[in-house]
Amino acid sequence: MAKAEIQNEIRRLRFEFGEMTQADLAKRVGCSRQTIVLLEQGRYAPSLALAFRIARVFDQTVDGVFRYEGEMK
Amino acid sequence: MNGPFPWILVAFAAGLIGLIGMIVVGAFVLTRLRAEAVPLSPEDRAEWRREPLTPLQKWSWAGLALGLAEAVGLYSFFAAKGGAAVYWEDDAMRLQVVGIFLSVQILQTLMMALGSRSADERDQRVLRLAPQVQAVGLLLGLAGWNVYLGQSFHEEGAVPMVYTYLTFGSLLIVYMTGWFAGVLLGYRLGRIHGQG
Repeated sequence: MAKAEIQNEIRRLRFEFGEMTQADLAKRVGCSRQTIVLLEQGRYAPSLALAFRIARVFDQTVDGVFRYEGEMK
Repeated sequence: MNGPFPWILVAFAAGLIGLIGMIVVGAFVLTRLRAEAVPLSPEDRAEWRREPLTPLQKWSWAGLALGLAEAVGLYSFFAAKGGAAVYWEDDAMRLQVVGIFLSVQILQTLMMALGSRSADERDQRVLRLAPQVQAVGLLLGLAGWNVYLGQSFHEEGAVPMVYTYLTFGSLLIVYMTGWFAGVLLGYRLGRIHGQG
């Protein structure tokens, strides 16, 4: 399946934060559980606003959660 | 050339050309999408099937099923009762059809509202595809009616009034049901292209 150019550490961070469930995280950042599933699988590139909300839940910067793996144009 | 100008043939030809045009455009778009898509591995396909459905997806499946059931049900009802001519003259049949039609439209509108209410940013992207599918559905529906009416009433040179109501009603069914189909297609294409 196609991978998004933006990968992340959400799965690891969830477990480090008391094994937070995907449903809990989805509720806290205001998206569906399916979106969290696709994010963790690296198959969805979130909006900047969603990226910031997720980073805030884990007390991280956006850079600490997401990394860009695409090629520079 | 003797006799009145055959406008019905012009309309029939226009409908046919439109239909062929839409098929060509549709084939072109599908070919491009397929070329851009990354093939799914068996593991990815299995993973994809396990994903939970979003509320919007669940409501869309329900709305699509309801729309298709309405179309099949009304078509069967018309066929069993004797067709459009009977509908035009039989008040009881007309009331039954309008009752079913309005009930389903109201239910589908509620389903749209319930599904959209909980839409997140990814669902919003998917929702933007729905009007495109509705437009294609309407064009195909219009082309179908054009061909059917042109063929059926070519000799008479005029279409009975009842078909204006039936055309509107059927296209409204296509419009409403096309929204749900568009949403489900949006999820499908989103997955293929890695944009959720």
